[in-house]
Amino acid sequence: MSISFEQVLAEQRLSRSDLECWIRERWVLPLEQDGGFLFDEVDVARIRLIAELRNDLAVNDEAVPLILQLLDQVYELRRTLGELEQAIAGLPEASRSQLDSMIRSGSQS
Amino acid sequence: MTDPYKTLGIGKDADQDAVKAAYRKLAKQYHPDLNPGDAQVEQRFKEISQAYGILGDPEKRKRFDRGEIDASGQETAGRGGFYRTYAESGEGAKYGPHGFGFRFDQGLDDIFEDLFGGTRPGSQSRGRASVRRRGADVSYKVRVSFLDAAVGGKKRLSLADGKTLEVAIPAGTEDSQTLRLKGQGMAGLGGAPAGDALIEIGVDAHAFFRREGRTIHLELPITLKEAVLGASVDVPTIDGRVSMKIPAGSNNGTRLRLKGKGIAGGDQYVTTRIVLPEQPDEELKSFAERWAPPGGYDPRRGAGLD
Repeated sequence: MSISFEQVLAEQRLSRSDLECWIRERWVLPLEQDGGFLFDEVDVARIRLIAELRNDLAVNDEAVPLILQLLDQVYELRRTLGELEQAIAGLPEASRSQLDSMIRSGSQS
Repeated sequence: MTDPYKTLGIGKDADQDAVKAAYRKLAKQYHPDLNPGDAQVEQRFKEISQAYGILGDPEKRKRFDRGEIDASGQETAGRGGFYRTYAESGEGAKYGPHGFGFRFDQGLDDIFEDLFGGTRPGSQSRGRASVRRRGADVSYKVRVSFLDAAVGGKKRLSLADGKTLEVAIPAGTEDSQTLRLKGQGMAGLGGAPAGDALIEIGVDAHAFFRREGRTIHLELPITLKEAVLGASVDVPTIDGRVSMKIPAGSNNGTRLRLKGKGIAGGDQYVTTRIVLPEQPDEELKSFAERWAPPGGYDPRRGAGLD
């Protein structure tokens, strides 16, 4: 379920200028539809995370994009890792154990 | 329920700044979004948040100290999902390292390129990446009005990467139906095709239409006179108003069909609802007093309620 700008402000108790700024800085990437913004679950969860970083964890505005970029990379890596896991799960048993022993024995250069 | 002072690792005499500092230290360590792979931290973080919810608020802290509220602090507002719940799904794909900031169109240093095609440090085979990999699909959620979903329409969307998409909503689109826009997802690698944009459609409710597949339902208020004597009335349909005949003797809940006025050849059903004036006028009152149906009409008899 996606919600509007006004709904996000009300639900997350944010100031209009804060949310506008986060969108302008591209910390949050809502969909634009008919001239208004639409936020889906991932956007709202990210907004909540940004608010918590700033309010609860005392992260200042200069450091927020740094943290977001690092987090985005972690999540991208985890997404990729998930794909690899799936691909490996589809390999024959022999290939999987070969891969396993190669990884465990460390460098294979 | 554990003691919030113990959860935050502070003494009863800690001042508010010390409470805040203790919370910050723990939250930085245990925030689930900063620990995406650790299932345990979520419970721990909830306990920490709950403890801070009480001790971080001087009023609540006093009430807790006096024993007026327990360690659960009851009124803890239900927190929505954590970011990590969504970040690794298709919805989170737009926040990949190529989505945030201005780096959308830069070359993708894809991990698969390193694995299957790129130059491996210390390896003999230094050939240029030959790997081709299709771009990731990206999911979006869109809201459309009841009528746009019913009769079809166009939506202009500006996506995270600045692209503008014209989405044709087909007539009869159902709530939470997903449209696939080929090639509108993340760019592919090595000349491989881009991923798709998956657009999940949320259909708004309508003030008076209801929908069941291709059938439209409408409840139509009518007067007592129209019900008894029959009438021809204007009725809204999804394509505009049409004239409809109400047969004499229509009752509350009588269902009339408008053939072909639903979605894509479906029908519209109109259910009548007899509405009396809010304040019966003198004429209606005196009519009701004089009214003596033959055979002592009693609607409760048929319903077995007499």
